[in-house]
Amino acid sequence: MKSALPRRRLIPRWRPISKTLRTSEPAPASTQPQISVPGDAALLDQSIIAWRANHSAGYLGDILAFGLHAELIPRVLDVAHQAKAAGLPITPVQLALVEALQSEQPVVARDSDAQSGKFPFQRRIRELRQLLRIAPGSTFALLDYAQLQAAIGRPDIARRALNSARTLAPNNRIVLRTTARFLVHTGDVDAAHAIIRRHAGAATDPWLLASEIALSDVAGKPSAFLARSRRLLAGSRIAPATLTELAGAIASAELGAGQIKAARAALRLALRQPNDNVVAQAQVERKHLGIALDEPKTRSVIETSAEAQLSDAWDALDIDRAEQWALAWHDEEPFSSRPIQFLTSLYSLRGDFSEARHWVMAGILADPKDSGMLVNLAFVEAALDRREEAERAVRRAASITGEWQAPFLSATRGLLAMKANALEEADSLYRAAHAYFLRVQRPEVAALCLANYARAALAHSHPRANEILTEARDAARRNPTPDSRLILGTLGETQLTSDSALPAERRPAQWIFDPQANTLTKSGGPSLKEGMVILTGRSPHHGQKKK
Amino acid sequence: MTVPDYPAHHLVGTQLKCGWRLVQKLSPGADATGGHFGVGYIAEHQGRKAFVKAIDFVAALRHADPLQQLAALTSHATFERDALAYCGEHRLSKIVKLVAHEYVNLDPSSNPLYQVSCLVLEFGEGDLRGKLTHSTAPPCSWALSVLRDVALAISQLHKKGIAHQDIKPSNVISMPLRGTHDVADMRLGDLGRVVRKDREGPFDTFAWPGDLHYRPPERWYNHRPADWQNEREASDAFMLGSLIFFVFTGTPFQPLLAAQIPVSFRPENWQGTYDEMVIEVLRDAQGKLVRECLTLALPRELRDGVTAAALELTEPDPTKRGDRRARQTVGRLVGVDRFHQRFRELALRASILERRRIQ
Repeated sequence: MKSALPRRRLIPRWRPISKTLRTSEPAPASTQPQISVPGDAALLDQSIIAWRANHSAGYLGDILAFGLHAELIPRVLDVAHQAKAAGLPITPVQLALVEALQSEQPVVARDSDAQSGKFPFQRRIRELRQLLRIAPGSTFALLDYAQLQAAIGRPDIARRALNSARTLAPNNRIVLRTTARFLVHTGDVDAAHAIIRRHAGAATDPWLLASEIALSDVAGKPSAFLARSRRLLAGSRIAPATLTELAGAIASAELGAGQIKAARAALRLALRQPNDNVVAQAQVERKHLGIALDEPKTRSVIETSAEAQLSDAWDALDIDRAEQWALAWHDEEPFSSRPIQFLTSLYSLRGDFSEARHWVMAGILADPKDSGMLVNLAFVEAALDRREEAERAVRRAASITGEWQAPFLSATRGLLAMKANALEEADSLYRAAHAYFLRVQRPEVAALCLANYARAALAHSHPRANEILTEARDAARRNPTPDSRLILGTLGETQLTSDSALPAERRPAQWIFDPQANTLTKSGGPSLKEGMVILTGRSPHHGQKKK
Repeated sequence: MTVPDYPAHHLVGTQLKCGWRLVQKLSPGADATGGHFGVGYIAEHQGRKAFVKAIDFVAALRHADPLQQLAALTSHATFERDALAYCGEHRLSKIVKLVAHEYVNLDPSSNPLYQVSCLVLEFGEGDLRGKLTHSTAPPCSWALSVLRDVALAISQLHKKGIAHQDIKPSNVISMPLRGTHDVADMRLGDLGRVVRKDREGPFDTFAWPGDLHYRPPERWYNHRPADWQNEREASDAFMLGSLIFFVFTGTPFQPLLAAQIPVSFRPENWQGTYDEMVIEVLRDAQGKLVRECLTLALPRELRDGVTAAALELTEPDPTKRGDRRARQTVGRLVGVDRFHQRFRELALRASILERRRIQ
């Protein structure tokens, strides 16, 4: 069984479009003030007088036109309510608009609000097909359609939809980033990188720059725009919300190059107004960078980010909350193997193998060649005592997966041997896997392997089961992970230390209270380790003349 | 005789030199053309009826800047009269006709300040608002005939280099039916806000000349395309598209679209230009509204034709709005004339379908 959460990178997210539109990603890089034109209240008066003289649905419709202006909405609603109360003519669409104006919700419910993103997605796909038949030029509908096609393992249809979207909106950053994300999903990382790197806007658009840096890392290539991005970040007047992912990508690149101080500085900028992708990445990198994620803005993003909440819940071993957020994450990115792999692992670790199998099948449907999923399938089939299916899954996984997956399959074979009461063979297979993980310096995976071994040994009355359990406990204490803690928890172990204990952290910023000047100033850089939120002292700007 | 404060409001019983007698004053908002200024009356002559739009200049003289206000008012009144006269001369059959124009003065001393300009226009049976009486959709053949007539009116204006810029239900006037086969005869009224290619007008520089609530979405974001086609004709096309929603659902398209836009993209919140991102957001909303609101009101046999027209006419990008094929021709025309043909064909098909269902 593989560990629950695979490695993460700051590649673009591919959410349902209704959710993407609520993020800062579509916001303009440069801003211009809007001139708001008020509605014509006198003309509304005339329309209301006309409606009072003739209570037709047409006159009411004319009044509803004034709903375009926020300040006139209360009066429009007042008339609509009078019409409803008096039983005067009012059409279904007029009623829908009145409800929308009243609740400040859209007339047509947005996709995610309808909770239709659950596997296996047939209803949502049907709706999108209908929409695209009527409005084939709807780029955003094409993106959603592609996402669901990718989730049910039809990458060719998804690719065609994305190509159409790119033809319709070749310069739209959401379309470009989505296409790149899809190509990463299908394993065509070079193409993903090339799409972003070759686009004319990549050199100036912070979102495309961020994608280029992250994708170059995935592709194992040097970034074409890293230096330019550093300069842009240093001297930019662009809104922090627009720069967040670029700063986050630079932080990851600096961290990869061992430039801890530069990475910390970039992450600090990223966290000024972060999005969920950046916060989830920061949660992974905080252990290396020692930056606290307790700023109000960061906390508020964490509270709404499914991935970040999952990571939090998993570290705290809050299984129910982890399950809830993993499902929410899957709802957002149904094609992605990461939430599915997590759910598979969670149910397996909990011993709910039927549910685990359901999710493995969803993952394999999305990508039949996903090596992690195939390894998990073999394990789940073995755990369900479906020997033939398990052996077939092991063979299939072995034919596809690389050297790194072989020890996982070895452990699964160990489980099968244990179930067949071939204890010596089981010992040998589990030990081989364990030795491999130690050899490649992955002691936490070795500890997880031992935990699985102990669970199988106890379940099948292995004569040395208690000895194996003790060994597994020791290994898990030295290298604790939520995975091994969960398994050993089902075996009665409660004394394992939490691996969520983090080294002393720095705050991304501190406030300095200057009692002489009676001012509160934000510091220019991260605090010292375990720094206070507010320091008392002389402001760095104290004594400076105002310009 | 005392001189009324605003003489245009006190003309009932007045006999015009051209023979028309003003017999009834219309209440504000109920006037047959939905005009921006002036007082509406019903006039009679030899058993026929006409609509009279009376404009006086007293209010302008009491304004803080009377000269400027007077100049603007006379300019507007003259411009509308000339536009109506031009349409009459060129026999634009779907534009409400100007019957006569004259000044009346009720002041015993004939003080020129109390002159009232009276535009006598052909009389309709009311506007489109009054024709949608029920909660259910009207007969398809009728709705499509309305759209056919409005499309023809716009097309006639566009061919003469005139953009209406104020197409809304109250400006679509229903005329008495003459033939036995027709189900509707609609004309476009209120040329008070038109913009003309061949001559300068009082509204050329306005951010939006017509009713603000019926503006196309690019104007919500203060975007004005640079050329005539995309600035003027495409705006008229959008308002025709909005009428499709109005006749089938009782609601203009503009408030539906505005309510469907995510909060951060609403005009009052959006800080960028009218760029590809906003257009895609609006297009997404447009597709959903057409699917959820419009298609349900249409018979299956006509659904494709009507929804295609609605999508092309309410296209958020003004440079792509209009008939798809016309937009691919030299000059990238908006092609409202083609919509007239399309609606005519759809109206005929709808009539046949309805007759078959009755039989």
